[in-house]
Amino acid sequence: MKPNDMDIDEILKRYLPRATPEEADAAGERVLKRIRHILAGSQRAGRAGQADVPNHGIRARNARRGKSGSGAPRGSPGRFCIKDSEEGFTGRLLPMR
Amino acid sequence: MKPTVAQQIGMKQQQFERLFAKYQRVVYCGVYSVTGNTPDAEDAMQSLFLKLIDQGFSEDSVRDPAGYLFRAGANEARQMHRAQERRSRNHTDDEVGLLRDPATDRNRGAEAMRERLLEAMDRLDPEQADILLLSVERGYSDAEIADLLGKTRGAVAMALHRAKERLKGLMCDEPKWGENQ
Repeated sequence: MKPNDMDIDEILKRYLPRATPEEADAAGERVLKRIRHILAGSQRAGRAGQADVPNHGIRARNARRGKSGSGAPRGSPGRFCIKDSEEGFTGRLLPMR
Repeated sequence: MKPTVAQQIGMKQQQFERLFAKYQRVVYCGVYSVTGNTPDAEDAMQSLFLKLIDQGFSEDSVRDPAGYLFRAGANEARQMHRAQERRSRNHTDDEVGLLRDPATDRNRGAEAMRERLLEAMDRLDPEQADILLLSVERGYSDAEIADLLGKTRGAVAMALHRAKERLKGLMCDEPKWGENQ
C-alpha cells in the first residue's frame, strides 16, 4: 500500500488499542492490590528501623520478574548455590545437589 | 517532630488511594494505547503510580491532571516497551485469548495491523505520539492539547498533521533486514 492510499484516520480509529472502562477497572483493581502489597512491605521495613524508604521501583521490577518469591526463577535450568568445589572455594554458582 | 518513615508512607498511601481511584481509568487508557496488551499495561501503570508516590505528586500541581496523567502513562509504557524486545516476547494472556477465539483467522489480519500500527507509533517522536494519542484516544481538541503542552493551537495542528503523515510513511515501510530479528 502506498502512503497516499492509506486512510490513517480510519486505521487509527479501527486499530489503535482502546481499553473499555470495565477492562480499565479490572486492571486497576489488580494493580491496586500489587501496590498496596508493596507499600505494606515498605511500611514494615520502615517500622523495622531502616533508614531509607525502600526503592519501590526495584521492588516493583523484582515482583514483576518473579524474583521476590521463593524458588528458582522461571526459565531457570535448576537451582544454584555458592559453595566449595573440588578446587576449593571459588565463589562461583554451582548446581545444588 | 519529624514524621517517621512509616508515617510518611502512610500519608502518601492515603493520597495515593484518592489519586488512584480518580485517575486509574485515564492512566490505564494511556498505557494500554501504547502496549496493546494487559500485562504490560498493568506493569506500566504500577510503575507510574509508584513513581508518583515517590515524587509526592499532587493533582493540584498541574492544570489538567487527567491529560497530564494520560500522557505520563503513555510515556511510562513507551519507556518500558522500548526496553523490551518486542519480538522476543512470550505469548501474553491477550494472545492466548486470541488463539482460543474461533474467529482467529479473521482476527489475525486485524492483530497484524494493530501490531504494525503500534510499531509505527513507537517510532514516532514521543511528543508527536502524545499529541496523536491525546487527539485520537482522548478526543482532545487542538486547543486543549495546546493548553496541556504549553504550545500554540497552530503548532499542535501542524504537529498532528505531521504525525499522521509520518505514521503513514512508517506503516508503508518495508521492515529492513534484521531490524525485527
